[in-house]
Amino acid sequence: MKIVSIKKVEDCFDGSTIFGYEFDQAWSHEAIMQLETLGTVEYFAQFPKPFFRAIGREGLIVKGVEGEPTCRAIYPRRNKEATKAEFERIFE
Amino acid sequence: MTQHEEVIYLNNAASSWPKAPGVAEAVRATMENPPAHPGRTVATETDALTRCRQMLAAMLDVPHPERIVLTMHATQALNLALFGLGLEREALVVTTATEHNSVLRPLHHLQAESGIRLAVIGLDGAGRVDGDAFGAALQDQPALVAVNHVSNVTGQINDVAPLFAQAKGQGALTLLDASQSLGHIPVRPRELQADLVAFTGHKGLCGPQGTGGLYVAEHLELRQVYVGGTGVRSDLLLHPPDMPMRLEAGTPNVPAFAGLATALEWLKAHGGEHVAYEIELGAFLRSELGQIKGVRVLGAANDDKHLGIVSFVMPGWTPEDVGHILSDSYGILCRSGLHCAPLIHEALGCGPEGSVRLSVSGFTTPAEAQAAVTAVKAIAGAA
Repeated sequence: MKIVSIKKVEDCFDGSTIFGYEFDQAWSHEAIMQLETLGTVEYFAQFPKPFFRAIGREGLIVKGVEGEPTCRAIYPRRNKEATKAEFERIFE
Repeated sequence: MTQHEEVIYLNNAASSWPKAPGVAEAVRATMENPPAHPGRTVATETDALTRCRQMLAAMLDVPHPERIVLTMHATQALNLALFGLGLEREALVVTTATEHNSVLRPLHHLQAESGIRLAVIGLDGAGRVDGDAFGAALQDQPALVAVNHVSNVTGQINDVAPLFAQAKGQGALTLLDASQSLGHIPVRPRELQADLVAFTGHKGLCGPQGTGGLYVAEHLELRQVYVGGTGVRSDLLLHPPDMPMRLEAGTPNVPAFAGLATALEWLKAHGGEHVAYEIELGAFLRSELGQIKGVRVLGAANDDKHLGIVSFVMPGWTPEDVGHILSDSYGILCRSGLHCAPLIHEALGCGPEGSVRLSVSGFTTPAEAQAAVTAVKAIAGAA
């Protein structure tokens, strides 16, 4: 999977630490489980498109659904740039 | 199949969709013809802005269409009202915790920049305006009382008539935010004793975004907070003082108002059944979601004081998670977060993350509402 685009996501809050990612292919189960290198992965298979939520050691949260080429990453304010780089390195 | 046929749209409190039949065609037709400039070169009695004003006056049951200022949105209307009143330093404004930021933020700016005093009335556990606290605040002779008609979070209808009657008894001016009520329930300023009514065209009125308005009672003249070209009386160096142009400047969004005029015509013919069905569907959602283990529906129990807006929280999931699953896994478009109404969430004990909001319209099908209930049940069960 390669990153196609990264956009800041606006929400009700500050929004400066939330980013939406688009990839060149959809998330597969294998790709989702690769996120375990960052921390814990929760995988909810019971939904029409399984939802996943990865909680990184530094407070990073990544959310998405299997079968879609997108996800959302919420970075901690502290170490935001380092955590962002660590997540994006997975797709290099 | 077009892309939008694959989604279930339950975000009507943000902007209704689909729009009333004929709205898109009216916008398109206006854009495909040479621009008309209502109030200027080719204005007629049947131009889009005049038709909107006339139909809105009929809807609000007010005799003079020129007392309706057409705006880009309710936020502009509220800014025109709040900044146009010329509230003096130390003037007291009473408002409530149910308000949207389009009321709260102008008031907080006035507090910070002009030195007004602000009393924000809290809510009871069910999200209703605290009547005792409201009555007590009125004893301090407020200059203005600003209350929303329907909460954009709970869908609850505020019983504004008695609140405004009390406020008028104390000599206050009254401002009604009808953003979530106009097009859904009767909004009659004279019955409600509202001096000012702000509204939008793209929610309950089923018109395009970029439309809204402000009703200004006959006895009130607002200060002009923005001025400029009007297309008439161009020899004057000061902006004309006559309503409605007193509070309108610049070229209006004529295509959007042509769409709104079509929507208003459609509502006149079909609004009654459209809204009755929507309220019924909202009650269904509120009742069904309230029965799901772990789901807490915000606001008072089901009664006839709600429109088709239901917000909820559930343990184990953030509202953002639930919104994400509903949209990306189930194709159900809704809204999660604070919905620009932070104080009501705080009052109902679900700040700072907010809630998940489902909002139906008269175009939502029972199957779509049922699909949302089924999805929420599955999410609650997976926590």
